Amino acid sequence: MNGEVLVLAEHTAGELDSITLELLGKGRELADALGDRLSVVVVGRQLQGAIDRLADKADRLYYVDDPDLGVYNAEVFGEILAAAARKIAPRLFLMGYTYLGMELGPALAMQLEMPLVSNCLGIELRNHGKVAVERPLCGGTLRAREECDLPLMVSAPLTAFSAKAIRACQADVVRIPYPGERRSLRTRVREVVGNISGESTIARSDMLVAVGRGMGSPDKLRLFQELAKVLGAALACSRPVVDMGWLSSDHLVGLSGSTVRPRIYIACGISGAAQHIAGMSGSSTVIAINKDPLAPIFNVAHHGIVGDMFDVVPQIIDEWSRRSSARTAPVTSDHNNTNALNRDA
Amino acid sequence: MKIVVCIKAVPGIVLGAKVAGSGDGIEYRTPSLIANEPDEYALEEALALRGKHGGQVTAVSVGPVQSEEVLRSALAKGADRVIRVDGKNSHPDRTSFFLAHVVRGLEFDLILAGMESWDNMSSQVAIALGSRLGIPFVFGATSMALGPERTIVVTKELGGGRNQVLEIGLPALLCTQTGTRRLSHVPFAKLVQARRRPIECVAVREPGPGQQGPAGKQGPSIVDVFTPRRTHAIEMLAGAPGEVARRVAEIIEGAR
Repeated sequence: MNGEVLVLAEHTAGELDSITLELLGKGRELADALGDRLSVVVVGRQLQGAIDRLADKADRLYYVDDPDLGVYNAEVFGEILAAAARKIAPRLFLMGYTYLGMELGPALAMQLEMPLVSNCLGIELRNHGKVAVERPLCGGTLRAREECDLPLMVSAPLTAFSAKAIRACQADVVRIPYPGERRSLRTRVREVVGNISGESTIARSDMLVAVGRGMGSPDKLRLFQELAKVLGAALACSRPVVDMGWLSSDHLVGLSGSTVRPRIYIACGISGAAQHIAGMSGSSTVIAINKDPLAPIFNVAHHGIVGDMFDVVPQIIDEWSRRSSARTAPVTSDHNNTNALNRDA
Repeated sequence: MKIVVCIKAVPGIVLGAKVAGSGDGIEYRTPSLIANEPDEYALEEALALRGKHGGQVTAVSVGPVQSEEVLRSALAKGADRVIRVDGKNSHPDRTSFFLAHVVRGLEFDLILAGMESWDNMSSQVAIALGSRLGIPFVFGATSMALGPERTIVVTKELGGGRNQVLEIGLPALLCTQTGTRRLSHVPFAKLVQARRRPIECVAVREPGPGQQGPAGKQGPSIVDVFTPRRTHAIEMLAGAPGEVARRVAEIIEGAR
């Protein structure tokens, strides 16, 4: 084997985050093409669960397990990963364009003196040891193809890659000793708070009406609340809507909010920034309405409407209401009749 | 409290984008450069901290002379001093090199910046700057307040709705989350006043081999820039709003 393709694993209480599986899938493809070993590194406390889940997905597994590492601290994790990566000297170092990767990636690149291509949506090998990568520019309206030399660090957002190429194998497991606190830390974690993930109303809902910056002003919210109500959907939103104070953060879909996988996701005036798409691309059916035909949301939508949502949404409300009343109209018993009356009331 | 804010001037609209001759960026036409929105939130946080604790806010931007409009707007919003670093801001590592060079010459307790630029979408510059300066850094800060003994208490997002509360020794660098404060409006009169104030301009030599970090090495070079193609089938619904609504209703009925 020539070298190593290294994946930085992210996990929550021993369960691997989706990004880890996607990076392992891509990592396997690249390692095969390079004739390299696929390795994965994981840092934390009580890692047995994560180790068990990783050990059959890579050729080598490095781990640093210590009671001190139960809570993420950028200074500590950064130092440990830099030391480990220096020793491993990977040809390709893959990590998520996630909060973790965005915080540690540029610092690791600096310490390891490796160029970092971040927010990468595609990687392939070229001749002469070059790597071609694709990444978004200008709010996702453009893409750049870049060529880079190895060694290289790459970060990728959730859903950029597929976990399909993961191959069952038996990793040789290498424990990296925890170096302990060698210098006084300047960052102290006081507490970890909140956990919307998986518990929010929007994460539980089967149908979501999501609004974005295209809404324009908060008084328009009523229209989308009405659409959600008639459809029996929950109301969600993208980051700018929370930023403007139009909806609270428990409606937020994306990297910093909830990850949702409803049957139906109706995106209204959402451009589709990578951070938003990371939180909703697992939806079964995505219907997107946007004025801009080049909006990145159309890259993940199954059905697209290029137009003014303020024209279309009232019509959908009317159409759905008509269909609903048609469904409830043929009254066959007193029981149904009572229900219909109550609904109207 | 001395605060440095990094602000990037980004195009409002990009027209006719193509690879720059040198391959280290793209060329495009744009009617104007505007402040990168995430950096504007960083400036608001800086001004709020100064309002509470006194001190000085210095805004720094790397870019061409057209970026000065963004610095004027920072002056109008209340920044005490603005500095433009004359250089290309197309590669994040090089931008962090330029910023580090200038910031090292300033006294500071805190550096604030946004999380991602609209044009390059890399989220690298600020953390790389903190790393170059050897100071602690935080990505995704949603609130900040001075703590005991020259510390700052910061709430940061971990993603997925989880947050951490950190106590960090100053000096430190924070990448602020968007939406933490309302963006203030700049009155025209203040912009006019700001036009009369000086903008310091600094030239920094390009990083060469042997410099700290990957800046001195051969970095990625852009070979193509294009409009993304759709990689999966999408049904585009066209027609009068009523027709479109009927089709949407059918899709919803079918998918429920």
